[in-house]
Amino acid sequence: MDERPLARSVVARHRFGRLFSLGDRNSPASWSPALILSSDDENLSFSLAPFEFSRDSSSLPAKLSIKTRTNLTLPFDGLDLWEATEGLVLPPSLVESNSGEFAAGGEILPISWQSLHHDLSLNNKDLVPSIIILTDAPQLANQKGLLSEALFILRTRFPSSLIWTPGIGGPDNCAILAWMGVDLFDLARSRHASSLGVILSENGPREVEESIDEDSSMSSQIIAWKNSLAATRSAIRQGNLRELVEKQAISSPRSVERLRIHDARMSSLDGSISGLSRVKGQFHELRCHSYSSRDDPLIQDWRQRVSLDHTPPEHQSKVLVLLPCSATKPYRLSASHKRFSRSITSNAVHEVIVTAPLGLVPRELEDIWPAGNYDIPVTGDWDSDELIVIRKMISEYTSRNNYLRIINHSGIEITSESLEIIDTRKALTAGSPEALENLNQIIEQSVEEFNLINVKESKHRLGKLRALSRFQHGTDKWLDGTGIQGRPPIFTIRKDGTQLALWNPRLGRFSFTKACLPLLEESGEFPEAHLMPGFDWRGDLFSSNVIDFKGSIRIGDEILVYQDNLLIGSARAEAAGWEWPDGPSRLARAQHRL
Amino acid sequence: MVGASGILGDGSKAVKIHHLVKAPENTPQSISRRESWDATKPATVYKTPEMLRDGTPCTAATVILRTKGCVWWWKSGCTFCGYFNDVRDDVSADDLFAQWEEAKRLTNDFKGCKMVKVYTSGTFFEDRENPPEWQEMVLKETYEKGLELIVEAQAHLCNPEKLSWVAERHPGCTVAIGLEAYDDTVLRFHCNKGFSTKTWRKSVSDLRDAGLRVKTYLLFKPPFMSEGDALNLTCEWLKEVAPLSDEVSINPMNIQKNTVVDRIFRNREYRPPWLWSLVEMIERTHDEISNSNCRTIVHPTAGGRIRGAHNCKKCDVEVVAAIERYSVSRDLREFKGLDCDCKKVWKVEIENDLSLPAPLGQGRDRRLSRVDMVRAP
Repeated sequence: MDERPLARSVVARHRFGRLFSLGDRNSPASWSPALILSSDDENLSFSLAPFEFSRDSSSLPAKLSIKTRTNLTLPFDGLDLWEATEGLVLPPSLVESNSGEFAAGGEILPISWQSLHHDLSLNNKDLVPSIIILTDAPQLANQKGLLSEALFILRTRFPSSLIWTPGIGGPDNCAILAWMGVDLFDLARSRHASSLGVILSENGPREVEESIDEDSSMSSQIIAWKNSLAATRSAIRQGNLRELVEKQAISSPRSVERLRIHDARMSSLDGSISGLSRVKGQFHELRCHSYSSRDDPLIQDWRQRVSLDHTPPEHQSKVLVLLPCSATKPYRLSASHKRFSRSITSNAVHEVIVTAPLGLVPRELEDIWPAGNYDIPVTGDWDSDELIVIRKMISEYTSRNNYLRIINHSGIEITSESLEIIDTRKALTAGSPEALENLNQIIEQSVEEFNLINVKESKHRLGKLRALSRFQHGTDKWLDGTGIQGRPPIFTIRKDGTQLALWNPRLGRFSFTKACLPLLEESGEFPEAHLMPGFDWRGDLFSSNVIDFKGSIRIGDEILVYQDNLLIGSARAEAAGWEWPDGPSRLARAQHRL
Repeated sequence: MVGASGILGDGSKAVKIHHLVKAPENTPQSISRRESWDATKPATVYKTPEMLRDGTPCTAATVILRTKGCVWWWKSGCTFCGYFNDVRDDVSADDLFAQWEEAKRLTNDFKGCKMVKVYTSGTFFEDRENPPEWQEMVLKETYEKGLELIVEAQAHLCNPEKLSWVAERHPGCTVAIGLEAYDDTVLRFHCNKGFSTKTWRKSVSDLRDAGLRVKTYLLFKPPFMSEGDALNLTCEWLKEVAPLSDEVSINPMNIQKNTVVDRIFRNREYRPPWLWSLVEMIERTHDEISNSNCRTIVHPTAGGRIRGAHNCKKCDVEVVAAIERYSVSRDLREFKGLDCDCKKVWKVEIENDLSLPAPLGQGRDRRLSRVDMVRAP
């Protein structure tokens, strides 16, 4: 079939949710997430509904076609018609069996649970359809976990395709489906709602309110769609799709179940696959206002990495000080933490802040995403789930790190069989003079008892940056033999007079210089992108020039760029590992060329 | 066998559907449950109002016998047919004679009946299923009593020699064939029927040659098919098979235990048809069918129940009654004024099924509160 592919570029992304511009990227004719219309639907704007669909089932298997409603394929000189056959589809519960006739298509490709299991042609790496139709989405949605699994597989196997789940999307779940990787929706559920005299709103289905001039006509249903798609697109652009998803999910038990299952799956995977960011900068807010925020893979990832991986700065390995969190981020800028710091007279104790939903935030990590960005509602009381998480994290963290004493100024009761714990709060408020005095006394006492030595400020800073680098990059080897200069909080890292990096807490990252790249290479811990041999690298990294990649890539990661196995520069990831190397847009922005 | 399956496959080879569903039915427990039946008693005997071939109203006796079942089920089996639940492997000729005697006893020797339907959960005149001497006795006895006889058969088992043998013993009796769908893809994939439309046409021709009457069953909404496709396709099939048949009975799907359809119904992957679809099918095909000599019957088994054709519950009794009346009167006025709020919902389901690439359909539960019906799936 000689069909032209859809021209598409990712404008913004949040995990699996992506805002695509469709058509000419200099002047996009449309966008997704979007609607796909059938011929009987109201004539909606192209920006909302770029495609029209038709199905001919006069003989089975049905013939399917999708028509572009505006010019969406290069060279943007006309409309396109993409065709496919639906195949014979067995329902998911009969997955061990095989209908013997799978769907076939070019730019549009119908896929079912059954074909995912039995159709060998889907293993063909050259298969890059513009649109994937999950034809048994209504049935998969009825079986616990199956839709989530199918979408995960499709999303990661076909990172550049748009996905349509016919019949299950509505203004009440399009953000959740987008979060899981769905791009296209239809009006089937809205038509159903209209036939029942119900409005399918962004907040779920509801009766028409007669005291206000409302009706359940399709025009009313479409208003709900416009609002919901606008909110979804805007949330992807702003990077706060998760908040919208949490709000939307509660309108249906199935949506809540699906989000939980999806969260559990994503939390069990590496952050490069679940689409996490490494770096966000200080000005992006992470609002964790609902209980379900705790299940966000980002939060789970933080808890796990702090509990199981993080190690304190070397000079702070003996005494742990647990402090309460503050609303102001980073904490050190808050009035309460300024008071704590006056009481903590040694830089040889390790300060760790106790908080929710992240659990623990070591002081040296307080500037980075998401510790420097989260916001939570504070009632003054911990709930039992928060306490369980915090105590478990303290137990895991301390059992690895061989502290000799915990000075507990957090106000949370903690116990340990192997470790001495001294409570400095004694039911007082954290900032009360008595409590601060207690804290100071115990610090002083610990300095004496454990012979804690106050290190020089430059060494203290380097120790903290090393711990930070280990957390962010899995290595601090590149910091061997370096010195720290500059005025807090911005530091310059130099070695033998050459600047290697800049630490700027507002960016929440190390900005590496060209000179540092060989050291990063030497560490063997940084992700790599390999460019096509012979390619003259001038611009950024795209699927067209990247032939392979190694390592775990989170958004914002520093990636070492290779050609013919030689380090030739670096780039910063704009797409997480799941989109590599075949993602539809820029994978990484070039940073340095050697 | 790495690489021999799809993206999510584990390398294991696909199995045939009937192995998935039938294998559990052949467990010792399942067989012993079936064999707990008394082989000398028929499965069911009942009387219903019917119409003779000349249109005269009458009473018909239906005798469902407990047999060895259908040869096609021994090998494979139709996706929707649960007749195997009534069979046992060790039924003897003596048992069948005893069952027939019991049927006569229960109906007082078919007193008041002018018609008898003898159903054997398979092909009546297939010798591997039923002993020929018993077949002969039933054919002759019903003929001698002046009863109109209807027996059932699979199309590929209607060989001309056997049909002449039947016709000699009960001239002009009716042979009902479960064609289900006049579409080879649907016969093979959706129904697993075991024969093709070509075989059916040949059997019709052979039945005619033997002077026997042809009754055709069509199945409304086979599994793996949406409501919308079922409606459109069945209307076409009905128009095509009616001219070739003396009677067409359109049977809306009802969920029979332990079948493939039962399995997908329990997994919420299939819903029996709407009663409105049956009304629509009748209205769409009435004019064309009424010009032929073929009589059409729609009898929604378990109509109004969740496992049979059903609507929203409020209107089910009324709509089932209208459909039943139409089968007798062949008068579209039976549906005049018939309406319910759920008709709009049904209509949208049909439109959605036909306009979207969701071949298994998008139907939702029809009996929840209207807000809950729309809640995100």
